[in-house]
Amino acid sequence: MLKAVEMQKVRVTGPKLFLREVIQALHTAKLMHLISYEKKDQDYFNIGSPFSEATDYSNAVIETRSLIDFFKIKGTGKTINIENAAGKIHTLHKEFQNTLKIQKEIKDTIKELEGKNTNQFFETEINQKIITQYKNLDIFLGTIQKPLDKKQIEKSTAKFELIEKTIDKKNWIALFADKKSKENIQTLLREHGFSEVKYVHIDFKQIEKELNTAKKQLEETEHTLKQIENEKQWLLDIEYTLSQEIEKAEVPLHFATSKNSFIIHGWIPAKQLTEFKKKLNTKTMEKIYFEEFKDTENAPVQLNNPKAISPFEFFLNLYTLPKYYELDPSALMAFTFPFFFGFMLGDVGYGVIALILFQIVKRKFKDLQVQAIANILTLASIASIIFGFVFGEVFGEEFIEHPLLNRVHDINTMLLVTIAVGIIHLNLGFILGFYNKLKHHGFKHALLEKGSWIIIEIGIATALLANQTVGAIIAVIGLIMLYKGEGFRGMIELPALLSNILSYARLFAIGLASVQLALIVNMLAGQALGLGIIGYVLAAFVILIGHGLNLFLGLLGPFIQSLRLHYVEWFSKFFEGGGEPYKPFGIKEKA
Amino acid sequence: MADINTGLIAIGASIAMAASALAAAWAEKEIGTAAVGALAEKEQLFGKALILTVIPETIVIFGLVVAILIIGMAGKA
Repeated sequence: MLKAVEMQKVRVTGPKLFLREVIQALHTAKLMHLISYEKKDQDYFNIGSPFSEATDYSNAVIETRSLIDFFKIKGTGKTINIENAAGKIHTLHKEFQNTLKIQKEIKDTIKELEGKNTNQFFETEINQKIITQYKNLDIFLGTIQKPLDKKQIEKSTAKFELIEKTIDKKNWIALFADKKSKENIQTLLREHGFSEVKYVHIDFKQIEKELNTAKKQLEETEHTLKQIENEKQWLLDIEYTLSQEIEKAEVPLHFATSKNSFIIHGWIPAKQLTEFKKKLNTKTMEKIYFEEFKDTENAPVQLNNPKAISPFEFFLNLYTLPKYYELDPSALMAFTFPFFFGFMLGDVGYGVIALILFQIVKRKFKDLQVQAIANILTLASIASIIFGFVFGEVFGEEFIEHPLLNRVHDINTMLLVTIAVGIIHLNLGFILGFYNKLKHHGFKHALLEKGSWIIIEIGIATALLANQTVGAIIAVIGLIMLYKGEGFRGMIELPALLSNILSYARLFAIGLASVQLALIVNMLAGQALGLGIIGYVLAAFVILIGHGLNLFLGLLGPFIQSLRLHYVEWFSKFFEGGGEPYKPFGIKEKA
Repeated sequence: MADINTGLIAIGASIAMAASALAAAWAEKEIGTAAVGALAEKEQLFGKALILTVIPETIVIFGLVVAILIIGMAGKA
């Protein structure tokens, strides 16, 4: 709590003969956060080169991933024997690509054949022999958009014969008509959206046969693909194992190597150091050499909080991790965040609904981040219920006659309370900042940069509440200290102290707006009740929509505003951030 | 029946609120546009983008405090 996990910088040196054993040991230990070696011109050592199998494995893993993507396989893999796996994957991938290619060709053929086959009309409805050249007749073959009526044709010509049939939602016609009235017929057909189809003699039986063969072939390719897909778990295992092996094969890129030796720099959690050394020594027959360093500059950060508080680490992951030497504010935020949230929402009714809501979310969604947020908001909802009793509110209505504080009527008191909360919170920030500076830069810096602010505040308070001259003197001393500590920049930030404190007034401003909205909803519903039976329905509707909307705003607003008070006003007093997260070698990064 | 002075006080307070709210909205619009653009490039910036976007909100709080002060002063007069 408050401090990150203690880290120890170590150097491991050994003969290259043992490099693979050492890497294997590091990978199974999953403890060492590696520091990459950066070569400078005159350095004796070189950056290590990856093992030769890296390229093969990389190619194989790309092919495996393409298969996993294509079949949309989901799940997790486990470590398996990967001897000859690269070759097997390659064959499988080739087969897969070929099948896809064949499948495309077959599909094209089918499309072409089916295009020819649409002219069923000619086969089933007309005796094909009658389609020929006539001395006195024109033949119109094709499709029309609007159905044709025989009476309409009679107007254009006396002698005609019409064959009609609807196939696949298309109206096919064959019209035999007197040559003399050709123009009239053409106009009539144009009006009906006629499009001509050239008659070609087709051997339908042959096409049908070809089509069936193609369809059978398509089924075969589907079968092949199914077979590849059935290797699901194996593909996942291979992907998992290969990525691990690649990680191991490429890790020498972080090491410094000479012709016969290697050097590894890294961080190990101090508590696990002895255990780690023992493991490595047994694996390498004590042929490698350990060194430990005191310095903790740029150590990686692994936050260290009990389970109840760890959800609040989410806020730091969202923003930035503290530096190694900095305090981890998660534990304090576990109190202040629900406090601020509850102060703003502050309603027993909304609090209870929110509590139920987030318990449901917690049970339904197992994602780690969602779990963290649900845990945080569960605490925040409980705080809202407690503040609901303090303010005496249920869905905006007062249910306690004289509550401790009334948000609608005691506006001035509420303003003062929130400002007091702000002053306390900010000074907590200054104290944390004092500690950070003390640890990293010493007492003088801590006093001048952070302590000066507290002295200025004491000065202002003395001036306002007791003696003006004494207060002014204290404040000026504080100012001089601040100038020494932070220089001109500190002077510029001086007015920010006031605006930061006033910013906490949002604690009651958000709440006030929320109460008023709830009251308006209740009032509208009350008026609707006077309208008789329809009124009851209307009132239920208004209450459901109105309070639903207000609850949504009441959760969103306080969440963001509370977060903001921490990030902007509070963090600026002590938090630098920019810590490097602790990522031990062997633990797969989330993609 | 409220007299004209009460009305003027109410208008004064509402101008303090409305003007500061408009100002904050304007500022947040400018910052928010840029912030969303940055987020599209790099999602990890969410925390910082959120902070920068909400900074102008304090202006509304100032407006609210001023509005309360106006109403309070009117009560004394």
